[in-house]
Amino acid sequence: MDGVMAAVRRSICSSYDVESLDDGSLLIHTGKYFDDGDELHIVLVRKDDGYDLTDEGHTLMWLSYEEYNFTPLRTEILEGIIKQNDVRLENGRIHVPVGDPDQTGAALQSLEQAIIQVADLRRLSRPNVASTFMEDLRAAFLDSPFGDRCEFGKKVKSGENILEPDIYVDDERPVLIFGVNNSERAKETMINLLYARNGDQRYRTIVVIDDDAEISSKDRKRLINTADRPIEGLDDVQQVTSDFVSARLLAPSLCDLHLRAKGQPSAECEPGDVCCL
Amino acid sequence: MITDGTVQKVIASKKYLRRAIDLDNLSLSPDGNYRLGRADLVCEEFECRILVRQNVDRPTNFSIILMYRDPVCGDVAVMRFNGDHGGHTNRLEKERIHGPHIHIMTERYQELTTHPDGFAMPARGYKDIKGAMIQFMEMANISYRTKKGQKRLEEY
Repeated sequence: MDGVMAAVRRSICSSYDVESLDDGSLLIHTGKYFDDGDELHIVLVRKDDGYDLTDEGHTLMWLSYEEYNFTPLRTEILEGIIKQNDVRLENGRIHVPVGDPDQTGAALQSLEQAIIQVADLRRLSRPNVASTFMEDLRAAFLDSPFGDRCEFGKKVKSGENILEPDIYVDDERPVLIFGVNNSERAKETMINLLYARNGDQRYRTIVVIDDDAEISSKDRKRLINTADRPIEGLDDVQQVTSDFVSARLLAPSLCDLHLRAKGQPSAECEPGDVCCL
Repeated sequence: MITDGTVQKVIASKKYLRRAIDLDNLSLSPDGNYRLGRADLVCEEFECRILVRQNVDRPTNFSIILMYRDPVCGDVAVMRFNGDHGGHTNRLEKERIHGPHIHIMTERYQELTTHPDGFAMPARGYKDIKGAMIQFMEMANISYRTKKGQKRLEEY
């Protein structure tokens, strides 16, 4: 068994290597990688009072390739990772002071673990979370009582403009549903809402705003004030939409004539028009 | 899923840069651990931009990234020139690369790994960020657009 132990030790040790760099510091090859296959960047640097095992700021730079933003929640998680692994984060560099080279092993384990956990924050990146939101939104509508009337990615015409809702619900007055999970989508949706309101078709609009969407309060307010039915978060989306689709009176939108008459029914509106009920 | 064909088309499409990215004066990140640059590209077919990152402690550790905004998938990195930050391993092929390398987004890595541009090939012909930018612009078919017309980088 001693021979096996020795073989296991040799095998584990062989996955590590140390390379001397031109500036006298040591690049530690750990055999561990970020998701993209790039090796963790760990360097042992000589300091006045000993050594420093550091990622030289590479890990946070790696995260920034996808223009990663540290929201308050992500910052909180980052700080938790740093604390639980007993490493330090200073000026964007994750590092561990090492008094003596003999102590490098334990410090290396902590640093490796911290770097991998910090890199995993990428999974909380906006596109990943955003795609989950849109998938959840579509799934909620597919499971709803009007799932068989939903079309995804359908383009519809409103006057001379093309609208691009995330979900189209076929109805006498079709319902256009827009999911909003970032500021760019908020602006696109706003344009769609205005086109829908001002076009000659009589679409009804629902905007579903992601609770965690990084959009300004100004954009959020505009969406809420412009959509026929705004919904915040996915929790009640099925029920609210179901009520809205089946009970048209809940949120009638104003027709062009109605709008031109400054919110009052116009003489040209026919009794029974949805907008003027 | 972004197909290999689309990736190749995005890389090969004619693109213009209105003004050179000043690699000697990149902005500093808020924490001061890396420098960063960004420039939108003019392209008739695709919405693209360049991102640049350069490590402060070790300037030979850098990335020049061709970002493409896909109508469905959003912003994705289709090509990334990396400097020397250590090694890279192509997880699926079990190939190990030492030193500068070029990441390319592939269908295979989108399907089988958690990182779309996890495949890379060794870079030949650059060691520093300026050399990498010249090669990057050639490979990504990027020219400068000026009032007098278009010029390639080597013409300056």
